[in-house]
Amino acid sequence: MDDADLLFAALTGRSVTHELVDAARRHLVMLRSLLEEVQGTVPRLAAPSSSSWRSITADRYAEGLSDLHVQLLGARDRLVSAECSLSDRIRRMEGQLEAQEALVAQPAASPLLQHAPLMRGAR
Amino acid sequence: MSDELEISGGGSTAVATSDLFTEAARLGAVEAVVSDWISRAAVIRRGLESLGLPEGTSMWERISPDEAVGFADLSLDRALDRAASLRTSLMEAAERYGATERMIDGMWRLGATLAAPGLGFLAPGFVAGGLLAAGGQAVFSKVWPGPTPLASWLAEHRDLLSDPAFVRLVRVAADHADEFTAGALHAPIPGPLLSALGASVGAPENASVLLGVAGVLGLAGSRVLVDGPVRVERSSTRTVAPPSGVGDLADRVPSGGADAAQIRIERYGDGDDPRWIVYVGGTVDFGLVAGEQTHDMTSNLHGVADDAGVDAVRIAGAVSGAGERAVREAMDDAGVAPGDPLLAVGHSGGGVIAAKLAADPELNVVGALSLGGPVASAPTRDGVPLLSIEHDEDLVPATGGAGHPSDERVTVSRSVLEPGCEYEAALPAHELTRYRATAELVDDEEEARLREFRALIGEVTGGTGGARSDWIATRDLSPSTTDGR
Repeated sequence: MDDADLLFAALTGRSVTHELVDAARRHLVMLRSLLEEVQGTVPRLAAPSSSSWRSITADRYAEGLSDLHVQLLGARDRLVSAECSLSDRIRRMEGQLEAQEALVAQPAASPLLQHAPLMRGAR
Repeated sequence: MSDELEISGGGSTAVATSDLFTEAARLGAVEAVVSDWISRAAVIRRGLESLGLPEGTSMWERISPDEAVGFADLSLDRALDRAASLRTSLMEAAERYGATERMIDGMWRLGATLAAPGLGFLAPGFVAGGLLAAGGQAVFSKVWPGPTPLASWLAEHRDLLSDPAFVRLVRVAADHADEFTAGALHAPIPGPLLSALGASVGAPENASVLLGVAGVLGLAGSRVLVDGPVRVERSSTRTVAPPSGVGDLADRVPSGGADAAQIRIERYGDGDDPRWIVYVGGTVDFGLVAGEQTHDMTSNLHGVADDAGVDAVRIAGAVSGAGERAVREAMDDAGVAPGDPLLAVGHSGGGVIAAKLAADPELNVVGALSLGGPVASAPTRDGVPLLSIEHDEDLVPATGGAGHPSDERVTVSRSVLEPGCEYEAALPAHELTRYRATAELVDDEEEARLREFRALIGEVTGGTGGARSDWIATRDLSPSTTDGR
């Protein structure tokens, strides 16, 4: 665990609970499921048209299709970013939870955290 | 010639190539999928917001998970808007295409309405020439080993017969034969009245009048366009694999020939759940004098005339064409019961018969496929799709006139001839082999109405093998049977 997280939790008075970590994990599962579907579907969903039209209208249509593809790729990239960010937060919350539990077991270990509300389940 | 299909009808005023409809369908699928993603992303974002996860402290984390999902949601919203606007543009293009087609058709019709009486006034000369040609055909074919006058004329005008512009003219002329006739008879009918009459008199009504006249002449012994009773005989029976698509259906339509079977019937399903596919071959005899062959021009003319309400009160001539009566008799003999699900398929005049079966409320026809049949005027029945494949250069579908719009009839058109090329057949675009090739292309299309029609085939066959029987039909020519009623 990052010491800064523990310090941050102590300063803000916010602790991590098992319920919070579990809820975050559930959202990560949902997010990964969505991301997996988006990653697998986007390439064929907005593939360039295979039609044989040759006209200004057809060119505009191709541009529109390209823009649609860009938007979908953007959404995919944002979901990748969200997945990384959420995974990282969960890892840190897990670390923080372990540290909190260790502190509960040894209350005098860190003078700095003696005043932090570290009761298990409290927020 | 092109592998591109043009699709129209089916309750829509849009006319477009199958590519365009496929693209529109693809964008519709994109909208559905992206809408689902937006809903799911919104659930995740709201959930993450409500959790109030502790802020991250890592330097690289520039954006929180819920914010990132929010931005993804925004991109998906934009994608959804873009897909919807692209699809709308495509459908508007199809509507514009359809409107242009209708405008051109309207101009052709207006031209034909204005010109028909005038052309008719000059017609006696043409008619006399035509009768001589037809008469020559009948006489020469008996006594002359070489080509008859009509065959020679057809040979000389092959290019014209397959010219899409000429085909369009025929389609219009089929609906304006009455104005043409009034002009030919020099009838003193005021122009506006003639035009008003013309609007309500189309190819079926004209065909019915022609059959009525032929029927009266038939009382004097003429067999020109005079139908008669038919009989059918089962020629073979064997097992058969189920057809996999529209291309397979077209492949199984009898190819014709002097003594070949004109009707094929396939039975699927078990004993208490029989389902049928009936295939009807095209015109075998192109002469105007009714002979033993049931699939001839006399039968075809009945097929078109039956679409006219006035045909029900025609007192001379047969009630229906020999081809249709033969098919119904073969169905009876094969064991088709009125409630059995049935798919009807036909080429040319067989297409007209397939359309008639589909419109019959006493049969449980679930769909019909016409390959080059003049079915534009054929009545349809609610919920029974009629898929009509018509080649741009094929004269035969045009003889049914422009017809009337129907939610059930979907027309797939394609150009099949190379400009400037010479072909052996008089009507190369009407050949069954070319319709089979177009039917195969239909199987490659993802357009919704075509997909639904293909699904019908699977529903009828159940995906299992069936029993096939072939039927030969003949017209009774005994002197006492000049009336096929």
